[in-house]
Amino acid sequence: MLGHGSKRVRIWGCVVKMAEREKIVDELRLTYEGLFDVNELYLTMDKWFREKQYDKRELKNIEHVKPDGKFIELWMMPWKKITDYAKIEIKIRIQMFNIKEVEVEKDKHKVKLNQGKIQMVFDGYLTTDYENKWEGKPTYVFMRTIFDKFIYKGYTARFKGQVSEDVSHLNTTIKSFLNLYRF
Amino acid sequence: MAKYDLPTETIKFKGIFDMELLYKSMRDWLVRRGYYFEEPTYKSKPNPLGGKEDEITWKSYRKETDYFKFWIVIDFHTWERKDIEVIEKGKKKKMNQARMTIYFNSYVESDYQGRWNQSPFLIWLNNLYEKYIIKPEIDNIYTDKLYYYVLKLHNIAKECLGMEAKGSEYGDVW
Repeated sequence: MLGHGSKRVRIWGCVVKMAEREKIVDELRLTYEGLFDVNELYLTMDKWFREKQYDKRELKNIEHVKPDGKFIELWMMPWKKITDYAKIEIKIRIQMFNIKEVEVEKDKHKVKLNQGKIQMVFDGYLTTDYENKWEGKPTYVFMRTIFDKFIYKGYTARFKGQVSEDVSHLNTTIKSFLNLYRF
Repeated sequence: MAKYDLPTETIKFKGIFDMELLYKSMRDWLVRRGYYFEEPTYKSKPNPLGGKEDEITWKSYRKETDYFKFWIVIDFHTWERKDIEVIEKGKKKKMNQARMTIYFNSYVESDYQGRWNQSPFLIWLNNLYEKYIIKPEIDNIYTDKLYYYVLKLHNIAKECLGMEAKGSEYGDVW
């Protein structure tokens, strides 16, 4: 149940209660065109979420077979609780265009790979008071803001740092994975 | 009686697939895991422009404990579905060509027997019980468990459709 004064917002089709949600990483982009393995890329991301103790959330998985190759769109939103008060959410939008299956020779072996174009957009959020414990009354909201701004300032800054670090690490992991196919 | 909704997972697919394989694999998965299964909606209507439009709803539940029940509700919607024949490894095979959307909705239902619903005092006590006493179990065990079950079923659907972005590193979770 929602307390008085709390609001509901719709994020990617999910109705969520109105906690304090701050965007720390704004539209970090990654573009790649060439050879890669779609399934391996997906599993690399999945493995990264698992290793970094994120809970997986895959909201959309769209695949259209078109004459000039497949179009794939993925919307993911893995999340991790840092404390009982703060959690990190990473919003990932992936679009792949003209994905075709090709056979390439690698170390004298034929390997099946995909060829196409990828566009990825990453956003990183720090959500505080995700259980809406401080949303009930205006005095609670006031106290929470005082705590966030002055008393917990050091913690909040550290949590924000962790959001940027995680998004940047995920971006680098995917870049390194894709770079492997260049050579 | 309370409902803890989990995020909806969506699959959209356009191409050639085996409807029978998808149907059987998903149903078998649910039945094998002890879910009671029913199909309250099955609508199929021919499209004047060709193909069929289908709407199928599955409702399945499992009594996890005497207090919690897991619900998985799946909605299939296909457009322009046609039966086609393809040759796979030299053999003719019946397949389908369509545009399809699958929604996976799930929720945990508490006090499904309504035992805490019999007096205002019990309702108040139940509220207290769920909000403070068993809240960590609801958040970290029951909703989490159901969510990862749904992800497994979601992955089976992706494999049956032959989608590229499939597989999971969370196979051993729950």
